[in-house]
Amino acid sequence: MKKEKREGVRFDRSKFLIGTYYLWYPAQTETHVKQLADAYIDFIAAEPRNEKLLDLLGKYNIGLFPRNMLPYCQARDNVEVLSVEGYEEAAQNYVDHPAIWGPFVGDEPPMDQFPLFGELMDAFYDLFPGFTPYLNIRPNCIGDMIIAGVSSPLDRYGTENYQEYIDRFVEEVKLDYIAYDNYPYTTLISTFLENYQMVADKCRETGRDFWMNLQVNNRDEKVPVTENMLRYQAYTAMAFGAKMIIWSCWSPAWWQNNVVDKYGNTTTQYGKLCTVNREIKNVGELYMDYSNKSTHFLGFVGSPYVSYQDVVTGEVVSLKTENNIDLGNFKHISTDCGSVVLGYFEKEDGQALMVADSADPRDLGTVNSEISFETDKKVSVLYNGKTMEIEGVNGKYVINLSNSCGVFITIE
Amino acid sequence: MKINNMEQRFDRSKFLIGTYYLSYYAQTEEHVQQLSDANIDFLVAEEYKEELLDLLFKHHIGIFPTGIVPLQRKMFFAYEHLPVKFYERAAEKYVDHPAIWGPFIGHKLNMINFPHYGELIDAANRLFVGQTPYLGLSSSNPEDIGVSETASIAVLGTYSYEEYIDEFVKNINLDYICFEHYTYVSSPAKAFENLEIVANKCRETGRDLWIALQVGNRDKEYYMNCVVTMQMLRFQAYTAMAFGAKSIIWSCWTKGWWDSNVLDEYGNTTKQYKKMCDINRELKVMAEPYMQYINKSTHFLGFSGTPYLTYTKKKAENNISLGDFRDISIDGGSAVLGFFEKEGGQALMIADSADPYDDGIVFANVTFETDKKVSVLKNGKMIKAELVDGKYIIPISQSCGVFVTIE
Repeated sequence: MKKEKREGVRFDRSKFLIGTYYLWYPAQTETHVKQLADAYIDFIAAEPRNEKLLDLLGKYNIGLFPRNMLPYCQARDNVEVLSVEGYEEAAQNYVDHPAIWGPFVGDEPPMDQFPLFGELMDAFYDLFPGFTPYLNIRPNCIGDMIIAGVSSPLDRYGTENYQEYIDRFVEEVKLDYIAYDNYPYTTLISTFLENYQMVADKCRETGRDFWMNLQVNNRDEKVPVTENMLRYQAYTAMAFGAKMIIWSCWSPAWWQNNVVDKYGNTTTQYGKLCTVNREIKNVGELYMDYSNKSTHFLGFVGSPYVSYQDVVTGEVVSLKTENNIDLGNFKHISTDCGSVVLGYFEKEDGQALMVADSADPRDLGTVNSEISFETDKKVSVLYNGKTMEIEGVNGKYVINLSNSCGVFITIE
Repeated sequence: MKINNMEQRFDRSKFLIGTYYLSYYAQTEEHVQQLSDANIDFLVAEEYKEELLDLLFKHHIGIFPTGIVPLQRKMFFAYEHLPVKFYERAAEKYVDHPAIWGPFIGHKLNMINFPHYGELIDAANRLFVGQTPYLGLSSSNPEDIGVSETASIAVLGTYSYEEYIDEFVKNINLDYICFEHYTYVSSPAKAFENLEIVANKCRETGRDLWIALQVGNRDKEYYMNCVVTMQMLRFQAYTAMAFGAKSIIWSCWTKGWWDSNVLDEYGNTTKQYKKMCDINRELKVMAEPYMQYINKSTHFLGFSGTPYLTYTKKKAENNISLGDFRDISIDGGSAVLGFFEKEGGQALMIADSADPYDDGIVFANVTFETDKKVSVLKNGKMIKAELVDGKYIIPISQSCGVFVTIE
């Protein structure tokens, strides 16, 4: 693992970073770039570079991972353009701009491309010191593809075993993060959560950062993603230790209800994203001081979100659920009737929990539940990004949970 | 109001399954045979065509056709645009056919038109003797327009679905309430709210409950959760039966609205066809005993930590007794529980509701005590209820429907 390559990156990896995909013409005016900044967007992914856009992004301290900085491959499409020689040629011709954080180098590569990407990434760090390449790998949604008959997952990704896919990726491609996309409102919540678990486990094991692509858009134009659905995605990602999230999409690259329409006008998603990103940034200030140690599924009694039938094997897969657990100096953590994704974090002299309410991922109604724990330490709480006063009774603390809220609890 | 209980062309003592639309490209005998094989009893809103009527009659399928009486497409101010005399003229021209169960009158009425439709229904009852006019109501969530309060007023004429249903029964002399609710473009929480309001009114006024449910969906069959699965069909049908539904109407057989219907645009069966055959076969088996009973009440068992009771008046219960079913409880799941009675017998319809979206797998047990003899039908098959320490244990999962009778 080339951890030393983290040094000298063009952006501050100690901050919680929020990105988005694509900013298409005609949404490249200064007004549009300011909208990004106002929505707490730190960077854009996959948008090709152009100098006017780069200047505007630089003015507003927004970074870009452009797709046209290096030869680019989408899954198996266009793979013949990938070579170390191609990277060398691109490096010779490269004209720098301070808004560029690194190239967007690939999306959802199949497993058999990992040796090639390993070579390419090794070459990259020598050719582009200080830059970070953005390589997004695929989610675990094989079942969807089989049912849809879209393509054979074996043909498309080189394996039907997602664990093998992740294992091989970290063995062969020396990056200091794992980035992948999984969009819960176009797949199963249970496999979405399982995907988090598999990637977060691998990140902890290998010391990589966890970057996560989530959806602000949706395939069904009549079902826009709500504010609570944004919260659900962001806070569950944080409970698994995500250090960066990327919202798909700002401009209408795929699906409906993106943040701006094809004319560059903001949609109803813009206000929601501003609200949730503001919350996340507030949480991120404190959250990034801690390191994620484990993640747990608390409660989930009678919930369908922690089990599914594997369409390949026919077996029922169940994620491990718990209640009444101890994590560090948090004792007897439990929920009355709720479902919570619970991240446990540590720093020197401090511990924290990220509580991501998960009873109602689809924002279908109202669920009132609570989480409780005991501790003899001093407790501080950020609830949806705002400081919440809390008093314990005989060392026991109870926090009411609203739909898809995120609660960051620290003890010192 | 006196309910009009005239002699009818179809057997209301049976649980009846209908569907919307059989378009021109799907009107061969083979297509009608497919309907019959899928246990479809009647068609709704397809145009009156003699050749089609002949085929339907041959295969013992009824129809509520359009084209008998004029329709008010825009439902505002029907009294101006659709006077009773139009129905009288239609009746003069009408050529009867034994496949016709009654004229399709309209759907998604705005409350403002209820008084006038009361007159139109009276005219239809008078002019088309022995037939049953088909009139469908909106859900509280008019999904084709939107979910805002403004949209609610535009479609329903009121913010209150309860008022909408109240006004309907005050004004319109039909012995059923037929409404549509499409859970997967609305939500299970709204489905339960609508079913609760309509079922309460049906019990209060002695009307039958008919409901249009969805086999199609707005999205094309591409990824998971977009096409309606067998489990999602079960969820809709069995929860409706737990509220005492006596007829369900699947939307749609051919292209009516949305996608992934039972037939594609060329008249070929889609993956939804086999699901229709399977679910309807199950429902018909369940309905044999079910239709002997009268629904008395409906309860929400479990539902701890779920959002599905957001809009219902009745809240979650656990450990309840209903008639000779004592100490009914559930261990972690969610079930809609209908209580039914007949002379000398009682029954429960248990509709597993832990996973309406077919997201995963939830196993739970419903338990109860009784001194009576217990019979259990689960998804259309007889099963033996396990008796442990004096309690009967019924395992439920994946939106199953269980009809338990005691005598």
